[in-house]
Amino acid sequence: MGRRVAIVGAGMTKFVRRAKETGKELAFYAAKAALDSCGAKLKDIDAVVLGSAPDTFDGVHMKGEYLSCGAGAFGKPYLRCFVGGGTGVFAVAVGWYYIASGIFDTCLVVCEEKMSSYQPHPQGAFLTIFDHTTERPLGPNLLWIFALEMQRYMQTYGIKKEEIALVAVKNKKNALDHPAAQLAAEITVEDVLNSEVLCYPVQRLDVSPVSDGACAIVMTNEYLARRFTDKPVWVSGVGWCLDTAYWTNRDLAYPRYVEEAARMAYKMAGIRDPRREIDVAEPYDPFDYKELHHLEGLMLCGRGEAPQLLVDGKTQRDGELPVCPSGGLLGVGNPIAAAGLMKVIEIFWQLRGEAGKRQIAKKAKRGVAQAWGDLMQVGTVVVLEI
Amino acid sequence: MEFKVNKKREIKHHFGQLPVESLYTAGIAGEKFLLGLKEGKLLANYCSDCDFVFLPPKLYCEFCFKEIPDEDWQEVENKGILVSYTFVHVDSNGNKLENPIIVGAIKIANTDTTFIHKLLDKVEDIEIGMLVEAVFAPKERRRGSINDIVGFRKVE
Amino acid sequence: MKNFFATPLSEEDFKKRNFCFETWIGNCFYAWDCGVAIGKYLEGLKNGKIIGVKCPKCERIMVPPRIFCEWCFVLIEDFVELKDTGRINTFSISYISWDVKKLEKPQIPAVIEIDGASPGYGILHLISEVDPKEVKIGMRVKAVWKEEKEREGKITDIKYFKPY
Repeated sequence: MGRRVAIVGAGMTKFVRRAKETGKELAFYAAKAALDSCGAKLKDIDAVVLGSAPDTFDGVHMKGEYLSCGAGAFGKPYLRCFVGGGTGVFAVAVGWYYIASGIFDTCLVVCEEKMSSYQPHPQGAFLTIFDHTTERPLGPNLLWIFALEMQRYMQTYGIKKEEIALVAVKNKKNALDHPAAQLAAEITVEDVLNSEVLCYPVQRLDVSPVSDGACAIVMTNEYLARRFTDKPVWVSGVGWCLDTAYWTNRDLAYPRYVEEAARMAYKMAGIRDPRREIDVAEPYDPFDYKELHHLEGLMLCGRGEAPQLLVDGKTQRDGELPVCPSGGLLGVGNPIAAAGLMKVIEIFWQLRGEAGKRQIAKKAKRGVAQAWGDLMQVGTVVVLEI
Repeated sequence: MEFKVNKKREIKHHFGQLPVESLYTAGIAGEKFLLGLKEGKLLANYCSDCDFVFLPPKLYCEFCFKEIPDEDWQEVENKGILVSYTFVHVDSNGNKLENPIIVGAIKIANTDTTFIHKLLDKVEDIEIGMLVEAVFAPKERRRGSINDIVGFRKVE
Repeated sequence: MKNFFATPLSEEDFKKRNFCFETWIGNCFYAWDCGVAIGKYLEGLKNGKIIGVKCPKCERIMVPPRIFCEWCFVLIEDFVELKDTGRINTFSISYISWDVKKLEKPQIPAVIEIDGASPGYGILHLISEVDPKEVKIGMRVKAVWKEEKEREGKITDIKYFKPY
């Protein structure tokens, strides 16, 4: 399908609760680190894609334009995209079709988020997710939708909280080896079960933090890839799908939109049996139960079976299907748009053997990164191989 | 396609409000610039590759993406030429202002950007090309903000 | 440019404002048009009824109402009156407000499948008059309405749902 597309360089900032840097400066750090990682210069870049959440977070009008110079887009064709938390992976899909089409040879994909500007708490900026007429007058808060989905998932498949808590334990521990991590820690299942109940069944240690941060990658075609690196990582499949916004009209127990997006990506990548053909996975985990929910949506196991994989240790870094070796959003941080790209970058580093202490035991040739967003609507999936 | 709409609907609108309160950090370069204003100084920085002086200064050159080192920061004069101006007669809610606010675009000497701030002279004294200088707030009232400069006034 | 760099500010830095900053409060007032479908829904609520729609093609009965079926992409003109009872599809118990402050009394949000609509079709609302520990998925609930003269044509014309 068009030209082959590779990721040749990556860079990211540290993820912190409140950064002193402005959004532009954060975007610059990530973009510059990505360019430096593969010896690219700004003049080598033909176009820039930026992913960033709505203007309300930063209180800045036309945030795409505001961030453009920090993303290296001066004088270049520029696109800002946003699909909720799915943005980090969706931006890679946009970069993919820019290059596969041949319209651009090399592009820079930058995802940035500075949530700390929103007062008193960034969670409030999400109030607009609820319908203004039929839902907001009830006085909702963002955690309602996750709690309602978690409850339905647990009930439908008979999953216990102890099993879900294992995800938080695994990911926060994995994040201890990630230099950018914000909330890495050695915790136990008891710590999770004893943490403050925010919105039953969601407890404090089930939730990823609010973060500021930015990530960037350099993408190019098969002809130029070796000019930048001798280990290009190929984007062999991309997929994205959106489900209905009438979220009270669908069964929250299964993310069918993730399955649709995964099917699109796997078809492009020629994958018939994802469980056997994928070596490492980075599903989106803003909440611990989401990692399990998404593993099922990605068809890496049957419905309701993800907890068993976890309990059997198969998803640890030395297991047969390492999941979130980076530490995920739970451990590294959750700057909305940048989080998904952080996962893509982790797969990039894992496939190249450059993940340092986080390197998984098995030799990985193919990985999948997935992100999710909005009113439990968007699934975005990218398959990478080396 | 014909839409059968009940035009005599009773309920047409739903009113509501979005709470938006933002706190902006100045950033690494921005903070250095504002602390300079607090000291009564105008700081700019220079990209040696592009031969361009930025005021307000930036962490990076947006043209070549070079990170501008500390050595390339410099203090510039408080004076410049007025290149454009406007008289503002309404506030952001559309209410008429008693006295117009005058906003000017100033080219500070030895910089390559225009600096936006208020003009303190009377409406009839403003003319493009005139030399203006910054008027700083009294030292005890400066806090590291763009308003540490009260405005620009014509140099006689 | 090295990787993994940013300058963190601590919670204390933020409280003490140990950095240069500006603040801004946005005045965002809205008059949202309800649209044809929700306008009718709210009229129904004012009259103590829950209104849904039926798609002429796939025959799903849906709530909240909409004037086009998103599956078949055809115009819907059939508004149907549904019951004000239903079954809990999922629920939660919230102890915090939208700005992460502790609530005096916990709220119980739930997705309630409305009787008369197609299976799985529900609305978001609150549950009350029940001990939070007793709430279960599958529980049958009924709407508790405001007095007729107090109803305004808003979702809050239903105060909450209670078990019955």
